[in-house]
Order: sequence, then C-alpha cells, then structure tokens
Amino acid sequence: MVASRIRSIRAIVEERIAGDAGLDAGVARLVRAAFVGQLDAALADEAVESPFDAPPPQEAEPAGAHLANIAVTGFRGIGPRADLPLMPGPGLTLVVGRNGTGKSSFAEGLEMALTGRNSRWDDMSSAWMEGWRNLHHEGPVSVEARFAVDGVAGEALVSLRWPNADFDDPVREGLDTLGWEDAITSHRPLLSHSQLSKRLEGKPSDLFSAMAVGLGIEEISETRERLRQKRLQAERMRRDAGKAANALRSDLAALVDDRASRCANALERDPWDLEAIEGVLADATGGEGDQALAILHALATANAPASGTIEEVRAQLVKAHERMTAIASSDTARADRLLKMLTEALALHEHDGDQPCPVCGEGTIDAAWAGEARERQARLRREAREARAAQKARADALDAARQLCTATPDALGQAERVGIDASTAIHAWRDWTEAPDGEPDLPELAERLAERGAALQEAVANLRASARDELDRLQALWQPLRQQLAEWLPQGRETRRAMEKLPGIRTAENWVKAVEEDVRAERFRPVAEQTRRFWEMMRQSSSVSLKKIALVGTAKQQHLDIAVTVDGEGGAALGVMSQGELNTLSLSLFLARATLPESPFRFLVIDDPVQAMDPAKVDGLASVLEEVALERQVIVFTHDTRLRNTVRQLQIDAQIIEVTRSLNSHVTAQQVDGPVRRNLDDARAILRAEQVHESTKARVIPVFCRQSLEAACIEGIWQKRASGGIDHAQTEEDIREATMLTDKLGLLLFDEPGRGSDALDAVNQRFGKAAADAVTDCNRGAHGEALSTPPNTLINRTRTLTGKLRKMQ
Amino acid sequence: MTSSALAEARRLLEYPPTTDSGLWERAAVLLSRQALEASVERFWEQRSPDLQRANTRAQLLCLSEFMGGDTPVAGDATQLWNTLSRACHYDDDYLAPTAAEVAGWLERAERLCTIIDGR
Repeated sequence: MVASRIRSIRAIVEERIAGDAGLDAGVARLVRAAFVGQLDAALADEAVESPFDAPPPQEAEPAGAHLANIAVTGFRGIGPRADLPLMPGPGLTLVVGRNGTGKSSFAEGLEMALTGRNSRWDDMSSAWMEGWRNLHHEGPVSVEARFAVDGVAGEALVSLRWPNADFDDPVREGLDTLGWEDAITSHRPLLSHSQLSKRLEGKPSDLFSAMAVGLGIEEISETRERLRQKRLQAERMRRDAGKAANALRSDLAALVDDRASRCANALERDPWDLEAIEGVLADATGGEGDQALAILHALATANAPASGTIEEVRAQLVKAHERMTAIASSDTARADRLLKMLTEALALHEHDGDQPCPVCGEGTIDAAWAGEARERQARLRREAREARAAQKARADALDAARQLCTATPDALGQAERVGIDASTAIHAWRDWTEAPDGEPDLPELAERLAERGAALQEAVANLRASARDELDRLQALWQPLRQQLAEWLPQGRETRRAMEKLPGIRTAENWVKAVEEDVRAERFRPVAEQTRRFWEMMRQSSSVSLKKIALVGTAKQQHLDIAVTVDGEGGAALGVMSQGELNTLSLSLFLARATLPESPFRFLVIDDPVQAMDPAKVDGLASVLEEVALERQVIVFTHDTRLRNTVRQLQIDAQIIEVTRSLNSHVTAQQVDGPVRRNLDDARAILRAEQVHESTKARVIPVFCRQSLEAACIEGIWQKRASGGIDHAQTEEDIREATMLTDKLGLLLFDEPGRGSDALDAVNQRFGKAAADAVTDCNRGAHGEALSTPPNTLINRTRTLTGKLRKMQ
Repeated sequence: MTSSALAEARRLLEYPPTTDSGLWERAAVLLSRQALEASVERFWEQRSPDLQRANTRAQLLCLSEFMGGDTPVAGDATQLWNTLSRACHYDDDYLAPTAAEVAGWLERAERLCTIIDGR
C-alpha cells in the first residue's frame, strides 16, 4: 500500500499566507504568482492568469511492489539463465555465497535494470565496464526483474536487454508503466557497499540533495528559485544601470553647464529623478531656467551701434558744423534790426512818396532807393532763415550722437560668470558712452564717435566670437552626453521600475525561503528520527552518539547537519567517526529514507552492508533488519558469514538463499534455510535429545512443527496473493489476523480470511489424511493432548506438507 | 550458586587481577554462560526433570513452551546463550569482545537469571 500523498505544498503555502498577519498583501501576491510561474505578469501589475486556488494537479501514485524474482542471463558472473526466486512479501532474505559465485551479479543486474546505472561501476575504469558480458555465455544478455504489484494481477516485468553485443545501448523496459521513474531516485530501494562508503564523504550539498530529494517540496523550491532569479535580475539591472549612471554623472559634473549639472543632480537622487532629465533633454536650448546659456546666448548676439549709423551721425555732425561756420560771420541781431528799419522806411516811402532821408537827412528816398532797399530786405530775410536752420541742424546732430551712445548691455556685466573675459568690450562701451566735458565741439565729437565706435565694434565683435566659441565648446561636450542620457533613459526607467518592486521580491523570497526550510525540516524530521533510532540500535558500543540530523540552508549553503557527541562531549564532527561508524550512519540514513511510508517500493536490496562493520554493529544491523523486515521485503546480499551467523544466533526469522557457481558460470540460487526449515531442525534436535522424556518431546515437538507449518503458510500466501491483484496491505492484515494455524491454512487454501474452520477438511482433500493428521497433531500437542503418531512421523509429515504449502500458486 | 558465578564475573570485570587484555573478559563471559545454564537447569527441576540432563540447545528450545509461549524470556535467553557461546570460542571471524560488550552481556545474564529463578 502506498500512503496517501502528503499534503499539497500549495495548501501549506496558502495556509501560511493566511496565518501570517504581518505579510504584506502585495508580497503575498508575488508569492502566489511565483508559485504558479507568473511572476512577470504580477510584477507588470497584470492579472495572474492561473488562479492560485485552483486544485493542484493530481499526480498518479506509483504502484507499490514486492520483488518476486530476478533472472539474469549472460551478465557478469552469470552464464546461462539463473533465477533468484524470492518470497514477494515482508521478511528478511539473506542471499549468501562466497565471493565470485555470481551473487552480486543479481544485485548489480537489478540496479542496472531499475536505474540504468551501476553505482559500483560509476567510478571504475572503462576496462571494468567492458567486462560486463559473461565469458561463458553466447547469445542474448538480459536481466529480468519480476515484481508483485499492489492490486495488480500478474507479475510486472522490468527488463534490461542488450539486443546486440554493444554494451552501450541496452534496452530498458517496464519502469515507466509502473510509474517508478521519479521514485527510483527519491526512494531508492537499492544500496551497495560502495555507495555506503561514498555517501557521507561527498560534498555537503550533494549529500543534502540526496537526502532532500523526494521530500515533495520541489514546488516551493521552484517558487523560491523564481523569486531569487527575479531578484538577481533586478539587482543585476541596478548594478548595470547604476554603473552607467555613475559614469554619466561624473562626466556631467565635469561640465560647466546647467543642463549637465541638473542631470547630474537628478542622477544623485534616490530614486533617480528621471523626469528632470527628460525635461532637460526635451528642450533643445536648455530650458528657461538655464541662466548660463542665456548669458552666453546674449553675449553671442551682443551688438554695438552699426558702423553705417555711426558714419551718418558723424557726417551729420560735420555738416551741422559747416553750416554753423557759414553763418558765424553774420550779425543776425543787427540784421534783424536793419530789416525792421528798412521795412519801416519802405512803408514810409510807399505812403509818402519820394522825400529826403529822415535818418541821415542828406540822401533822398526815391524809387531807385526803394528798389535797392527791397533787394536788401530779401537778402536779410534769407540770411536770418539760414541761421535758424543751422542751429537746428546742430541740435539734431548732437541729439543723434547722444542717441547712438546707448548704455552697456547687462549681459556684459555677467560675462565673468560664464567664464568670458568681457573687460575690453566693457571699457570700449564705457568710452563710447562717456559724454565730452563742456560745450560740445562738433568736429571733435564727430572724430571721437568714429574712433570710439570702431574700437567698440571690434571689442564687441571679439566678445561675440568668444561667446560663440564657448557655446560651441559646451555644445560639443553636451551633445554626446545628451545622446548617452537619451540612450540610457529607457534602461533607467526600467531599472527604476524594477527597483520599486525589489523590496517586495526580496521579502517574498525570504518569506518563501523560511517556509521552504520549515517544511523541509518538518518533512525530514521522520527520516532524521528514524535515522537516529537505527543508529542507536546499530551503534552498540560506539562512543559516538547522534544528537541531531537536519537539512539546513538553501542554495550553496545547504548541507546535511549532523551533530554528534563522543562520550557525551558535544561539538564533534563526522571526522571522529571510524569508517565502520560512517557506513553504519550512512546505512541508517538509507534505511530511514527507503522506509518512508510514501515509498512505492515494499522491498529493499542491500549489497554487502557488513564490510568494515564491528561485530557488535552486525548484531545491531541484524536487529534493525529484523525490524524493517516486519513491514518490508528486505533482501541482503552478503559474502560475509557474520550476518548469517548473527541472524541465527539472534533467532531472527530469515530466508537464507545460497548462491553457488559451478563450471561455465552456471549459477544456482537455492534456499538453504528459513523459518520453515529452522523450526523443523529444532523439532529434530528435540527428537534426538536422548535424555528428554517422550512426554516432553510430545509436548514440544508439535510446537515447532506448527511454527514450521505457519511459516510455510505465510510463504505460500505471499507467493499466491502478492501478484494476485490483492492489495499487499490487505494481505499483511489478513496474515496478522490469522492467529491460529488453521486460520492461516484457510487463508492460503481459500484465499480469503475467516475460513479457519474449513481448513482441516480442505487439507484432507487436497493433501490427504496424513497431512490433515499432522495439522491436528500440531494443535493437539500444543494443548498437551496425546499425538496420533510418534513425533518423528509428525516431523516427516510436517516437512512434506510444508513443501506443498509453500509451492501453492 | 548462580549469583556466585555472576558475582565473580562482575568482580573480574570491575577489578581485573592483571591488565592482560581479553583474558578476564573471556573469563567473565564463561562465568555468565555457566550462570545462565545453571538457572535454566534449576528451572527444569520442578517442571520437567528429564530436561536437566538434556543438551543446552534442547533445554533452550523447550524453555519457551514451558514458560508459556508469550514471554520473550526464552528467546532472550537463547540469544544471550548463543552470543556468549560464540564469544567463548576463539573465532577468526570475530574480534575479541570489548569490556563494554561483556558488561552488557553480564547485565542481561543477571536480569534473565533473576527472572528464570523466580519462575
């Protein structure tokens, strides 16, 4: 029977989530998404497709089985086909034989058929591997293992055949139909001596893996691994993008450029202010806030008054001066007065006619005089107009000159801030705007305008050039950085998004890790406890005590933690143990693992466990095997006589099969001892004991005969029922409940429990009266009644009947 | 009588006359086996005197039946006797027993003898 599969991991995780009040809802969501393999969707805030609460997929349970027969042909030490028939039920079987009898070929053949490998050969040279084919055998080579499977009628076959002489491609069949492909690794039912010694000496993580496999926590380990990968990915992004950002930042900081320093500041922030960078990149001129660039732009476009304008004003000044010079000799006030007197005198002449001159009294004012006077009047008027115009022209020219001399532009004052030397231009401009002292002298002013204007223009042109150079230089530095920033931005955005998720992923990973360790420890605990128990049974006089055995850590730190004490002193490592003790510990671990209830294998095959073991530990081993054999079919191959002796000495029920090898690799496996035979031997020993009274013999001999018959019944029942489609657990229970000999006979003969009362008749019918009398005598003697036949007859009849019962099919 | 053999065995274990390794342990094993055999023989005095003279294997085989089949005492006694017998003989297969092992056997012998004597 296969124990129902342990509780689903999903249910455990869900229960842990529900029970953890401190667990953030977002983290729980990540855990669930990682569990169903949809972490990416969850991180993108998309819906997780497969709902976590859907029922977990049902796994087909592997079939439980006992081993019924191993047939080997032409393989290793075995030539013609040799069979190792086994009782397909719980119990201890020792397969004994001297070294080289082909005994191990059965075990190795079975291992190869079940696992496709042979652990003993794994470390061997290829020369060893090539020695697989038996030298005395021609024809096909095969290993066939037959199993009695729980609830399945007929035996299941797992075979290994080499269709041709090429060792490399044997055909393995039958394992998949039994559903054992995973279980053969997780609950490996085979252990050889070479594995035993290698087991604890390997890398801690390998040992861990060997012990952790099959605990059924892969789902949670995968969940943890998905989260870990996601975390590593995010951390890698952070590292890569961060490295790029740091390089950019130091390049940017080296620039005297507001754009650059703003981007550098944005990268300084945690998290990065990517929006600020985007803003800088979006504005080609550098944006409003960029003062340095504005100053540089102002300087680059600064203008002095145009030379044409200056020339015009200069010419205007010169001309105004000439006009002023032209009118400078004339007396305009006297001209006005003269004009006024002439105008009055002409009016007098017109009114009164010719007359002596009233002013001088000597001349006459007449028509001739009036003609001259009118001409003179017109000339005077012209001169007065010209004088006024000249005055105005002068004022206009001065005004124009004043207007030309504008104040120094602000940008020049700020040039120093952006690293531009504007002092020449500033001086030139100050000279330019400087007003001359006193009454302006037009020619001097004109000269000064021309001179200083030219100087100003040259200074400003130089300033513009250096500002433009600086702008070009900045642009040349900024442009590649701008490009790099633009290229980096998507990575930066993605990284920043990942960074936002990282704390959640970390928490989820740690949470899952803790659950994983808990569940693993919990599931390993039965193995650990059983290991300790087996160790205690086997350690006997060893001073080493096993205090703790646990699977700890994850990933690279994982190991099997084994704490031992020596004579009660703690802190000791495995190094204090002898090779024999290590083997014993390894065997304890193997047995504990292989006997977990969920293992489908109801059989264990151990090849040579006794090597390097102290005699006292052999006693312990025998006791452990006896205990395990109560529920499992335990098959031990050994060439060492100690285990066999110990089993006999400790009166442990065991089938002993001896393997012998004759000429040409002809190998035979034969049962030489077992409970049936041992009880008959004991009965005979009593029979032969001379001093023992007949009445005592009649009392004791039937007891051993009965026990022999019961053992034969149990063998027969397993032979018949194991591959008869009956659940093996049912058979175990039926045997347990068949307490009386007749109950067991009934179970064997009628194949159903509760037929004890019909058993005697059935024995009579099938095996004759002598057999039925033997059964009756076995029961009589045990109750102190007289026997129907002498004890030696009872022994012989019992022997005959056991042979028939065991072979019932 | 039994107790004297067992007491002597214990004395040899706890205060070995010399430190010769193995010798005193083996002596203690012999004494333990004698004590066990003596206890079983005394058991037959009352129950089935014929068995007193039978070989030890026969005596032990019958012990279970006469003690009542459900007690583990007979099986334990047989196991211990087998073990002590093996330890008495030099056997290439087996190393000499350690003092701790012999002490364990002695304790079992003391316990079993007390039980058998009490029946």
